[in-house]
Amino acid sequence: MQRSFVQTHALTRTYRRGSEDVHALMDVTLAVPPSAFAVVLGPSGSGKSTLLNLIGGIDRPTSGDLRVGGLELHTLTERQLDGYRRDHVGFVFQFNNLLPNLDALENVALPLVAQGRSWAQARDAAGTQLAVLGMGNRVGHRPAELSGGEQQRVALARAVISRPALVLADEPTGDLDLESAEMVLDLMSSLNQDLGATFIIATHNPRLESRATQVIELSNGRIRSPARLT
Amino acid sequence: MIHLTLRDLRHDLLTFAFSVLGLGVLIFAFLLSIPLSLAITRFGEAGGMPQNVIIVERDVLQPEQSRIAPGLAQSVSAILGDRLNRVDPVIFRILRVEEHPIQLRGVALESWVTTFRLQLVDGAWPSRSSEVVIGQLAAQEGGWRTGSEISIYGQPFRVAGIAEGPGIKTQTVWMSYLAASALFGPEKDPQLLVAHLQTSADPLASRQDLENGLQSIGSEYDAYFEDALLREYGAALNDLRSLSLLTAVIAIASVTLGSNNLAWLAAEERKRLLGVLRTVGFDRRAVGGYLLLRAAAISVASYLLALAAAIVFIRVGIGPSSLNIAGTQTALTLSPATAVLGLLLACAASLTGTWLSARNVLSASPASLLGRGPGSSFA
Repeated sequence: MQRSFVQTHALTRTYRRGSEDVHALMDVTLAVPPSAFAVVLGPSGSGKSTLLNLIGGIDRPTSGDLRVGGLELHTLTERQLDGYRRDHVGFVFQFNNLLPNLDALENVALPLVAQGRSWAQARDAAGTQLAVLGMGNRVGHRPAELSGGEQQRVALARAVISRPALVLADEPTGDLDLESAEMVLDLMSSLNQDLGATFIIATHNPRLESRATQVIELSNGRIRSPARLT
Repeated sequence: MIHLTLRDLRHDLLTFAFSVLGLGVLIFAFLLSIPLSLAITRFGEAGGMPQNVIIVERDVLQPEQSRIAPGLAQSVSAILGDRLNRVDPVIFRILRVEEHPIQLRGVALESWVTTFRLQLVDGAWPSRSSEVVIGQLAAQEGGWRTGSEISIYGQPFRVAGIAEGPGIKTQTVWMSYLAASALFGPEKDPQLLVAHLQTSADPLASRQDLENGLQSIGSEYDAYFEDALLREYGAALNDLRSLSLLTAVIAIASVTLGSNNLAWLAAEERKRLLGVLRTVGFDRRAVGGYLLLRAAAISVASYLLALAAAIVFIRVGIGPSSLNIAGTQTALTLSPATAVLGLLLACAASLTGTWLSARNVLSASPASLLGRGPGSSFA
C-alpha cells in the first residue's frame, strides 16, 4: 500500500458565528500520497478552503487528527506551526495576495527572508525563479502593474521559491481567463513533476480533474465519495 | 522587516505624512509645556528677604507706577524707631536697553550689600556716577560684560561689574540713587521705600505697626514683606505650572491614544498583508516587530518635526528669554534633557499604543487575517 504524505482522520472544523455553530468540515478522513497532484472538488461552501487552511497550518482543527510528512499538526504549538509553514508549505490563493508595496521580485523573495536569508540572496533566487516561470522581464513591476495571469505566476513563484514539500492552491485559476488559467495549470503540473512536491488544489472547476492524480470531492463539509485515483 | 517597513511607509506616503503631522502636533505641545513649566518653577522659587518691608503706593498694579511722597521716609523711621536698620528710597523703572527689557533700580550704594544682599560676581562696585552694575541675567541676555558701555535713557554708562542677589529673576541694572535721580531729572521721585529691619526686630509686628502708623497719618501706602510679595506671585504661578504640567501629561496621553488609533487603523488596513506575512512563514514576533518598527518610524519622524518646530518657535517665535510673567522676563529654553525625555516618552507612548492595538491582530490566526472563514468571499 502506498504511504501517505497528508493524512487526516475525522478532521472537523467548527466555527462560531453569533450563537450558531457552523460546521465547515466534518469527520473528514483522507490520505494524499507524496508528490501527488490532488484536486479537491466541490461547490462553494463545501469546505475546500477550510481543508486547505488546516493542512497548511494557517488554522487549527476543532477535533480530529492531521498528519503532514510525519508531523502531527494538531499537536503543534503556534511557533511550531510558524516553522511548519515557513519550511514546508507554499500557498497560492485565488486573489494572489501579493503585497502591493513590493515589486514582483521582492514578493517572491519573502519566504526566503522569513527563513533568515538576506534580501540580496533572496532577491537573486527570486529572479531565477521568476525567469523559470517566464516572468524574467517583469521582476521590477508592482502587482498593480501586472495582469491577472502574471500576478498568479508571481504568486506561484513565491509558493515554490523555498522548495516546499507541499503546495496548496485555492482556486488558483478562479479569477483568470481561460488562456491564463491554462498557462498557470501547465506551470503547476510541471513544477509538480520537476520539484516532486505534493500539490493540493481546491477548485470547483471539474476540468482540472483531467490533470489530477487524485480527486477528493467535498460536499457540505464532508467527503462525498472515497478519494479517487486517476 | 526594516526593508518592508520602509517600503510600506513609502508606498503610503500621504498617510505617513498625516500620521507624522498628527502626532507631531501633540509632541510639540509636550515639548513646549515642559520648558514652560520649568520656567515657571524657576520663577516661583522665591528668594526670601524677611527683613525687608516694601512700602508702595496703594492700588497700583506695577511698582513703577507708584510714587513715594517726599517726607515718607522720615515717617517710616519715626514709626519703626530703633527696629529700623535703615530706609531706602528706590527709583524703579522698566526700560528698553538695546532692545532688552531692563528693570532699573536706583538705590543708595551703601544698601546694595546690606539690604539687597547683592554679591559681586565679576568686576567692581561703581566708583563713579557714570558706572552701573548689571545682574547676571542681563549680562547673559544682553551680552554685556564688565567694561561694556550701555546707553540708558539716552546716556552712556559703563558696566563696572556683574552682581547677583536673592529673588532677582529679571534683567536688572543697578545704579546709585544719586545717578538715577540725575538721569530722570524732574521724574526722579522714588517708586518704593525699602525698610530694612534690625535682625532682632519682629518682622510681623513691625509690618503691622508700620501699616497702622501710615494709616494714622492718612498715607495711602501698603507695606509688604518682599518674600510675601514673591509668595503671592508664586501661588498664582503654581496654578499655571500645574496647568502646564497637565498639558504635558495630556499631550503624552494623546500620543499614546493617537498611536493606538493609528496602529489599529494600520493593522485593520493591513490585515491581509499581515496574514500573507504569517502565511509565508513570518512568526508573530516578526509581524509584531514590523508593526512596532512602523510605529517607531512614525514616532521618530513626528518627534523630529516637533523638535524642529519647538526650537524655531522658541528661538524665532518668542525669542530666547521673552516669556513675560507679571511683567518679569524669564527664560524659556528647551534643554537637551527635556528633548531626550520628549523622545523617550514619545517613543514609549507610541509603542505602548501600538502594542495595545496590535495584540488582537497578532493573536489572530493567519486564516482569519486573510478573511478565510466559512463563506468568506476571499478565496
